[in-house]
Amino acid sequence: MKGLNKKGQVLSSALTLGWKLFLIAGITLFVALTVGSIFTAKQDIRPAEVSILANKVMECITNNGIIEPNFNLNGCFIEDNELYVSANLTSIESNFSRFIFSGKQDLGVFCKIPDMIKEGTVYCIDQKYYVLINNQKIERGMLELTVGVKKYESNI
Amino acid sequence: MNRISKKGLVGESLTLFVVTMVVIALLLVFFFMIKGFGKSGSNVEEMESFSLEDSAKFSLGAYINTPVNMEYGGENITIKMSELMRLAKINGDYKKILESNTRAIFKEIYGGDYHVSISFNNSNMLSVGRSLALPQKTEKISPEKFILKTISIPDIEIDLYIFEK
Repeated sequence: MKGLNKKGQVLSSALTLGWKLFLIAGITLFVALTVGSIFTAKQDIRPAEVSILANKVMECITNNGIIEPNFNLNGCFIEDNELYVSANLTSIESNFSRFIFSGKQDLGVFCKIPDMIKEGTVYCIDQKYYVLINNQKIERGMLELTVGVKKYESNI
Repeated sequence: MNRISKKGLVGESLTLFVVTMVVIALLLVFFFMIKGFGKSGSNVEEMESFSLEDSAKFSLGAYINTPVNMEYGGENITIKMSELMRLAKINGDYKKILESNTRAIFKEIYGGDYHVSISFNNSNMLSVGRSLALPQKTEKISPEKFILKTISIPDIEIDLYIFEK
């Protein structure tokens, strides 16, 4: 059986070692890039923010589906200057209606602009709820809630 | 240094080559798995569903507490919707009142994009709103997207479906 000389053996070992090192480096780079892309990816959490806020506001202003006609949004988690909440309460049975808002008024204007224009600046949701208004007698009503949140560093 | 045979070297190189191919294949599989995982479902769509679910939850809560004026035993009385449901189980006339009130309430809030199903002891008592019929398997129409919220009171279960626009 023919064998390799010493030079050939050294060269062969060096090539094998180099290839193994290249493999390890490739795997390390893949793991670093994959994990890095997950942890550094920008996540827009504004849809979650407005959804949770709308739920909290409803829990704050209604009780078993009943809402007081003089309800207000004070103390309903809207201290932040980057948020906007408006509530439009309308009675289905009478001509009672009431509109109130809290937060930054400018955001409310943005919420009325079509998605194409406001994209990347403000995220808003409009949601309708069936409610009962405790207006001397219990009246059927509808509450239209608009919740908007501005884009800032910590939510994207 | 001991001499190494050429055959041995070829064998080692082949092993290394096969290992390299397997590693590359595995990395590719992981890459596409991670890419696919990241794409599954947009969080905006999911959150819009959550906010619709919240709307259904609060609307159902108000619905069962809604007072209904009606005639009972020759007298005008006001009862809650949940009580009317029990009367509707035993008398068809009350079922009509329940149906008209239910339709009026949810139509006002959700237009035509809702379906309400009321069950008494697990048997359907009343269905109001848009049909829930899903397309047949042979039809090339994707089923409509909707959210379902259920509220239960003793013996009675109310399902509210809201269709996404």
